[in-house]
Amino acid sequence: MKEEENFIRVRSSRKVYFPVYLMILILVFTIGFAKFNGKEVSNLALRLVVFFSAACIAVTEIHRLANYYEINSGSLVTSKGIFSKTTRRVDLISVSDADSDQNVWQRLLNYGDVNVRLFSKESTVLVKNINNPSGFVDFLEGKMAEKKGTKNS
Amino acid sequence: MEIEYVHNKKKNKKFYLKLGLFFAFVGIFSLIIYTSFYGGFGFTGSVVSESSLVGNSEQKTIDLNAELTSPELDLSGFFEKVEISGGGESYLEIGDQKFYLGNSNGNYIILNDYDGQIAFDGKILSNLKGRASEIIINGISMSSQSKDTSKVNLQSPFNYKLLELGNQVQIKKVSYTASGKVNLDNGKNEISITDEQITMGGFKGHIKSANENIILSGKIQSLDISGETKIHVDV
Repeated sequence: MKEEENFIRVRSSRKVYFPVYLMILILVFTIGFAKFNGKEVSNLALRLVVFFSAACIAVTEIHRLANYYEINSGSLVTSKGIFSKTTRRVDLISVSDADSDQNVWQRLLNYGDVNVRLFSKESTVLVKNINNPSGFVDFLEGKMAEKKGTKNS
Repeated sequence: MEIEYVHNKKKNKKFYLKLGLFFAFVGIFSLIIYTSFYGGFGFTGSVVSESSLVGNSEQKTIDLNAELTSPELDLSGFFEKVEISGGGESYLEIGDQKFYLGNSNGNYIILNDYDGQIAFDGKILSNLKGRASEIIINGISMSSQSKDTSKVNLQSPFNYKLLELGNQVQIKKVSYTASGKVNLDNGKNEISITDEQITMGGFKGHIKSANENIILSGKIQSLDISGETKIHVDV
């Protein structure tokens, strides 16, 4: 989470991919265990593990880098996609409220979703799987108050 | 309705992707466990060798001469010479031609510079598929005049009396229950085994199979015998 005084940019948390990292860890540990006990590991199995691990890490990183969410002094920005990007800017004035959503597992690892509701009631901006969602909501509400304060004056 | 359909379709796609990933993990994990802890494809005594699998010339080895009951072997690679004596209701395809092996039990086949697969047990040659630079059947050369190598294929298994593979046949690992004698280090150590599990690793040498027995002459990197006798040799 990049946070400066007027600006915050977040991407999906790597904690979402915990099951994938766990699978890779299990495979690597199993090979290590076999080697440590003097067992032979077939070349095919080794190559499959390397390929699986590399592919999983590459795909999860690409998936993670594909989206980002930004709060600046005037708007909430959501961007999706790598090659073809879809960017949505929502003025902070049109945001009515926001809440965070975390299940037990997400609470343990401190990541979750944030639902940003707009006054129009036609849509909700969903900020998915970010670290410290309550911190994100706090920052958003701070910026909203700032923006309203600036407008009134 | 349409939006809901698209949303559900996307959800299903994600679910199947996660399921596919999980199955891939389970498959790879099972493969590691099976090949490492349960002997993998050498469990039944069959083994596939690779031409460079014994390692570099600096690998330590010990001399081996063994006469044991024959395992099931499935080898692939390059063999300087393959000699087969026997006969049966089968055809040997050489290039475009077929030679019937059923007219005699004493057919004598020589394959020089054979590159391919060969699978056999104590009495049956079940697979012979590859290419050879020279093929001699009962003293007559059957090699191609126009090509360097000729295609060789045994159509169906047949009984052999003698099978010799030379000179530097390589077997990565073979493990099976055997009886017989094992001589190590030029006769310095002689071991007799009866129905015991023998595992040989990194064999390189000459193989002769006849009368349901196999004679291995060459070098090995490791030897493991477990049963009444427990011996482990790691060079």
